[in-house]
Amino acid sequence: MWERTLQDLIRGLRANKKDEAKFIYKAVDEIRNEIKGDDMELKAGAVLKLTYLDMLGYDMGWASFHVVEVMSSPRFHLKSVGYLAATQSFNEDTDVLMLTTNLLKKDLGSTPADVAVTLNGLSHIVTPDLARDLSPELIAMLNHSRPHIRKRAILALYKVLVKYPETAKHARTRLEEKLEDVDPGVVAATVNVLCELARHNPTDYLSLAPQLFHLLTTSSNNWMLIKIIKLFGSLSPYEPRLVRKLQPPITDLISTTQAISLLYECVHTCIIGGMLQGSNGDSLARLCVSKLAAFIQDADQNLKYIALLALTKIVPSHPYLVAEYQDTILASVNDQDISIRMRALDLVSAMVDRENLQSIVQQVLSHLVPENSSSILPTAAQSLAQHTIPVSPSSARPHLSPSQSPAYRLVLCQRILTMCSQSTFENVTNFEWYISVLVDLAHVAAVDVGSEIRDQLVDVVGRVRAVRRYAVKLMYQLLSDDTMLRNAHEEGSCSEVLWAAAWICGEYCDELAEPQNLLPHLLQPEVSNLSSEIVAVYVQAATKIFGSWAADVAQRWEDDDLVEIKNVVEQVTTRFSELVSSPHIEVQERAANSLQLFRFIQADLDAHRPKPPTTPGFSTPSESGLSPEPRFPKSMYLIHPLSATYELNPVALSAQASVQVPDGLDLDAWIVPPPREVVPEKPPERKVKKLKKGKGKEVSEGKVKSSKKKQKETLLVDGDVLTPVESEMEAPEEIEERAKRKAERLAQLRDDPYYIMTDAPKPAEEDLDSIPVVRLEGMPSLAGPSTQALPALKTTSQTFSSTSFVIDRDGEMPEGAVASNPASAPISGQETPVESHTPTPSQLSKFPPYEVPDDVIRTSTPDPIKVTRSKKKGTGKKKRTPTTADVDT
Amino acid sequence: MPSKAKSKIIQDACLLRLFSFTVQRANDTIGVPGSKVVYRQYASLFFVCEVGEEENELMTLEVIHRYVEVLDKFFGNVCELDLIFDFQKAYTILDELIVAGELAESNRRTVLTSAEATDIWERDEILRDALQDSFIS
Repeated sequence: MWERTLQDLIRGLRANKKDEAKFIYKAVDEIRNEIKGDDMELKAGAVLKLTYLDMLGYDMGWASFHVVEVMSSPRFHLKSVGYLAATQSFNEDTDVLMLTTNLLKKDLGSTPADVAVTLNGLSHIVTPDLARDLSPELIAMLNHSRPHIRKRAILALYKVLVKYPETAKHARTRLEEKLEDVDPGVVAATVNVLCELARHNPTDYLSLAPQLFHLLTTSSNNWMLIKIIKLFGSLSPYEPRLVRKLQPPITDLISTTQAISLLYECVHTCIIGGMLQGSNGDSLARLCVSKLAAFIQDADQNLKYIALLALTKIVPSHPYLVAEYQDTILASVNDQDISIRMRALDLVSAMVDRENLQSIVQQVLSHLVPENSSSILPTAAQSLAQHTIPVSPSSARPHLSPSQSPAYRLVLCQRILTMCSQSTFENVTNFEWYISVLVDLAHVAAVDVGSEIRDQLVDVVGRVRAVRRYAVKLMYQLLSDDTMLRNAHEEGSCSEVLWAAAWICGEYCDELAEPQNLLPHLLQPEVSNLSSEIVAVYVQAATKIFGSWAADVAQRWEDDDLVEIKNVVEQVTTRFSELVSSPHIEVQERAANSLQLFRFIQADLDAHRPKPPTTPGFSTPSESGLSPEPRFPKSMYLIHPLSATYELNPVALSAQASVQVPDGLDLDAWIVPPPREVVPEKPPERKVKKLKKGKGKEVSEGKVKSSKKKQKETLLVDGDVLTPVESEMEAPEEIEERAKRKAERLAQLRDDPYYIMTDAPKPAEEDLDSIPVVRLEGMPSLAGPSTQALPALKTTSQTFSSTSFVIDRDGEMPEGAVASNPASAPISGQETPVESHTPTPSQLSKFPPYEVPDDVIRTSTPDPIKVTRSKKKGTGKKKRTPTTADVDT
Repeated sequence: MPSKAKSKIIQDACLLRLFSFTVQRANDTIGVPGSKVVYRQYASLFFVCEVGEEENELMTLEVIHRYVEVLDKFFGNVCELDLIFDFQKAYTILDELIVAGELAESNRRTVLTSAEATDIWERDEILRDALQDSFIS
């Protein structure tokens, strides 16, 4: 008698916000009692309350049987409560649904009001079983005398068809008849259903085209017209003749209709239905674009939004039409609504071509630049303004931009990068401009895109030869600017760009007039602020730059240079000795490797006597004939060839795949088998890498992509291969034995982070005795060629610069593979890049001593190692013999 | 205040905004992939529709608007509380307007009349029951 009504429950809930759980617990308890009683009225009230709670998230699944009870009540107002509860709480797995079949059948034959409620409820709760059992009733009901029942039956039938498609063959004819129903509402409902059905199965409904076309041209019901247009949109791809037939009425609708939703539907269907192709398509496309452009200028944000969306779809086929509205579209990137900005950005990125790229990127970039004086609003106010919805669009004009939001800035940055880099820089005409954009981006981004920018820089510089000189210049500035270094720890500092800067300066340091000036920047202690990966690249770059500079100095040697060189070497060794104890293994390893080289140079410099030409233990330089007696310390040429012998080139995607696996090499075999057998597998592994690189004929093509890794390898290999050089006199068995022992030792030491340190001093002492002999022998011949090579490089870059940029799109293929495997790498422009490269390697490999017979080069690593090899003429071949043998085994 | 003026005020006050999440974000918040969310705000009331990707956003907005118009007529200056306390009626009206996810009746007067008819029918029935009960007892 005193039961809570629904209203009481809601009021109670609102009054007990703090104690909701407790209140609901009590309420549900009461409901449990009420629902079990015999009083139908009370039961329905309880179910209604439960329905309300279910909407709040409190499950009412337990009461589903009672819901069915209420559904079966003969009283309409109770029945409707039951059906409402059913639509709210039932799902496919509700078991009591099996009990409802007869109930539904009965209700479908009841009074019109009951039938309406039942049809509505059925459309929600229908399951495949129910659909199968009730479809006859529904199909019969399509001919019901009352139009509003017919209408509902048609729509409910759609749900039945979705759940139980077999019904389609029985329902189809009836459904088609309904297109000619006397009641326009029934026709509209039929069109709705057909539109949905045709979307999944267009070919089946092509036969309806004449009737639909008739409706299209005669009806004035915009709701239905939208659906008809949509329906034709899904049909027209399967019946090309439809397109021509539809063009006139649609053009007519577009030009005359007042309803914007219909207009949009027409335009949209034209775009996705392929109606803009063909002879008449062009004028239709022009009409569409002009309508959409009008939308963009509309005050209504929704229209702007969808117009941008639609234009994005039209751009691929009719770029020139959209381009007319470029300014309007770019202005939308300034809109204060972030979602509109995003769509505008989508569109802008789709519009990009060779002509407009620069202006578009410049525009987008300007959004990243912090706005000056005009909008010095507290960021809190800005963010607030972003989140509260302005009262009316017109009052929301004040110039606060969401440009400050990091997420948005990130999107902007990534957009710029993708716009420029898509299809391998297809749209970039001026790469110097692009490089400067990248550098600007790194400065203004203030979000975390450093690594993307880094990859772009390296990619561009690797592929576009002509831009290298300019890139080196910019990178030099970047490296010598301390701000980025200082801010490296801040989020969004983009310090990864320094990685690229160091790498580019190191790799192309030949372009620098005075590379030694860069060294202090690379060696300064603040560098340790950067992440270890970058420090590692700094070490490598410093080494390369020194090498290049030293080689340069040696060419025009004055005895006064000795002091400067000594100073620099001193600096380098001091710094590297610090880095050798770095906690990061990568840094440590590189520093240790380079440190050994520099120690050697240091020793050589100390031993150098200005008194030229005779150096003890130095065999005659007759081979080279260019410089009879070097007056400079031989070690000046120690490092440069290590990095400059071969040029880095981008690698074609299929390059690795087209390298033939040599006979007898099992790539799936363990490199380091888990148990004991460490030894025998090890040498083959090294060969694998060598062979692949060797085929590529250039040192470390891979460096472009993953330079660190490769360089690390190179260094490791370098260390390893030194051994056989020393043991030149050893029999092959001994070499193998040594290799075995060495491999074992390495395996043991691998886990010890300090093994480099313990290792380092010893070889230094040993090598100092043995290696110089080796070195000096090869020295004069080394000197000659490099004199030619260096100027040669510089002149090439001069001829290139400021003329058209050549992009190396496809990358490099292994030489052998190009000939033998043309089918497997079907890149059309493949020939071109290969050709374009051939001059350069030949220039660079003008170091005669390295010109070990060609075939031999191809089978082994063209690594820095060779420097060591080449010194002893005989060694080269001898050493390689075991190598090839290893491969075969 | 005449209802016409009221609805005019509502129309003015309502901020027409459409927000389409990217598919990914829709996944994070609501719904299934390949759908989009269209919403419209009327004063403090938000009407949110999740529709298929190929659906016409503007038409969805029109449907929402139609629904709100009928609600407004039915309740007389509809507000949040009407929908909370009489959610059942709000659903009845929605059922008149939309069946199986498709627009069933586009004429707002028809929707209103049948919704009112249903309402009267229910009240009548309740009244009849009550009278019967009192006479019998």
